[in-house]
Amino acid sequence: MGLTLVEKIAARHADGLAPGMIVRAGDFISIRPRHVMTHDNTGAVIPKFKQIGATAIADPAQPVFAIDHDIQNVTPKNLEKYANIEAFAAEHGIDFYPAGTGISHQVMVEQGYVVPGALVVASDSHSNLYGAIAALGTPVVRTDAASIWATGVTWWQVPKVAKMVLKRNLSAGVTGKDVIIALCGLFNKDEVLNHAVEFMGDGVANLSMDARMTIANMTTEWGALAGVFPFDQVTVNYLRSRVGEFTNDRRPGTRGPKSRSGYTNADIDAWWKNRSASSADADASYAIELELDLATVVPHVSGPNEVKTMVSLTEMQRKHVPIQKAYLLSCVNARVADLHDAAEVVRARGAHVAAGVEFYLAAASAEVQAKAESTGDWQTLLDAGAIPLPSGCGACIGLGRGLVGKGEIAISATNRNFKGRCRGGQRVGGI
Amino acid sequence: MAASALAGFNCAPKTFAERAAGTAVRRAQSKPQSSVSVEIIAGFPPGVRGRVLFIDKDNLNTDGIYGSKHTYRDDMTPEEMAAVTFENYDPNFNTLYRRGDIVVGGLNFGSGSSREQAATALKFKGIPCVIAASFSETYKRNAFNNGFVVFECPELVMHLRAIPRLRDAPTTVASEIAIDYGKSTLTMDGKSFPFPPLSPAAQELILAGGAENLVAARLRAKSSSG
Repeated sequence: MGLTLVEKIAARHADGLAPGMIVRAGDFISIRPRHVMTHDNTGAVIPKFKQIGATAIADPAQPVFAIDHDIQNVTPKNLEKYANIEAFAAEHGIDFYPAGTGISHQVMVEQGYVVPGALVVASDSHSNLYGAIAALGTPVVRTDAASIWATGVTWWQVPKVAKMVLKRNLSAGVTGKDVIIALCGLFNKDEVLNHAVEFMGDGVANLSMDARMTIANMTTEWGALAGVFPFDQVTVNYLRSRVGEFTNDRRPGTRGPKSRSGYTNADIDAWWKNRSASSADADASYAIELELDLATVVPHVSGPNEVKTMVSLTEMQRKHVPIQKAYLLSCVNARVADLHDAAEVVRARGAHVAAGVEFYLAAASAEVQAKAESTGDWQTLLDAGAIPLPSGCGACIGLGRGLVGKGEIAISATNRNFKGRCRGGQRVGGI
Repeated sequence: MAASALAGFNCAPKTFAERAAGTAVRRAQSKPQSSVSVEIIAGFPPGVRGRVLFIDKDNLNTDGIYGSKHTYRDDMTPEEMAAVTFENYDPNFNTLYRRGDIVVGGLNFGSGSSREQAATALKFKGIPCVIAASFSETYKRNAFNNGFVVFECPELVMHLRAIPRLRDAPTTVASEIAIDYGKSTLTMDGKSFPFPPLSPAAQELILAGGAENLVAARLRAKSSSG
């Protein structure tokens, strides 16, 4: 019987596995991930690392620090915390990306830490995003992060694997966000709870990398531990588009002497040649198989207050729900294509943000913002009255400017609408 | 999003036809887990016997296992923590419990918060392991990270649920169970149920008393050898 992609990736990163041994869903293994990312919570992992008696990082190329959560907080206390994280990175030769570089998961992808067939973990629930690059991205807890720093490994039980077949193509104007909102709302009986989801089917080929990142990211809200896309031409094209950035003089961050960031065209060629190692076998066995006809997906809004409730945008329009705040930001959306779509809507209407509405804007990374600035999309949104925020998690996790006030209703392109998370109301799917 | 911000209410940039979504679900035929021979590392108990306390409840959350009013009291001794387990779910649990009883729960055991005491308090109580139809991922990580064995055996839960007397109360006393970690099989009422193997990597974690202890031990071993 064949192997799923998740099982193959797990086996490749299993520590102490005899050569030729396979790994199956349910197996309890010791894993050596390619990378472990921590963000602001690096500050909480450092004391754990010291407390277990560790002094040296087992593999300094393995951890990556990317600050993104509380970056609008410039109190001396928070700045000192960030300075301590940076100093720890410098002392141990660890790659470091300061506040303002972007949302950590976006930075992990942009800076070439996430590659096809890799196991990349992070101490953050949205690590699932890495699945867009045919990598296995999954969250760990702080104890695991400290353990990986100290020994290079932690334990993992390979999850059950779900097959998600996406058929046909999306209609014009329907986005990746609509797909994942639909999946959360249509398969809302814990079908993929604690599973790793593998996306496949003829509909995948026409999903852009931005759409894949959005979908993979929000498999977290769907209850899954990972959401992995296949390694295909879209992946290759994306990887090729990044190669030049790794030698760019203005590349953000600092890298240690042993850094494993970035890749070359020769690397991409080698991965592609060996792509069967980063693809599921045709006869792989799955715990559950789901199917969605992309041609039937229409824009939806999820909420209020939970992701499993969804309402079609057409229905919302009929209800005419007034809003006070709107957010186009977060690691689930706010990439170049999202900003462009929003700017196009503004251009088509020649309009300004409605009276009584605050529209907050933050790009997924500084690089994304620079690209949106170069195309004029960013300025179009500012001219329409959008309020820019620095690239980071900010309002999505209830930190910094632009939080939802008591009794206010908000729509948001973020991933979570738990009541009170952004200190308020609702949130939305598509743009 | 942008269209809504411009208009001041939730609306779409264009009109979309409403139609039913085309979906399908197919569940794999449940293949019974085959029993696997597992290497038992030195010092790890090859088997456990005990009476079963059955908790006939799906989605039992951490508050039911270990109450929130105790969660942020850092001064509780292990004995005090052990004494308050399950009190929110079933005050009678602690009357029925005898040291060494094995707890069997339903689906998604330990959902809800990430409090570690929901696992550590059961370990302090002398429960050798929890078996359930499935676990919350966070509960499972907390359990192993603290050196406490939990594993899934949905077939055992189905067997217990087929016995009417075990569904009369929130917690009931079932017969004795024998767990063989070497054969990854457990036996109850003359029936055998395979479960996912507890690999040497898992045994090592349990034996060390959890993840942090295991890492510390590995670091000590490394520094003394090199």
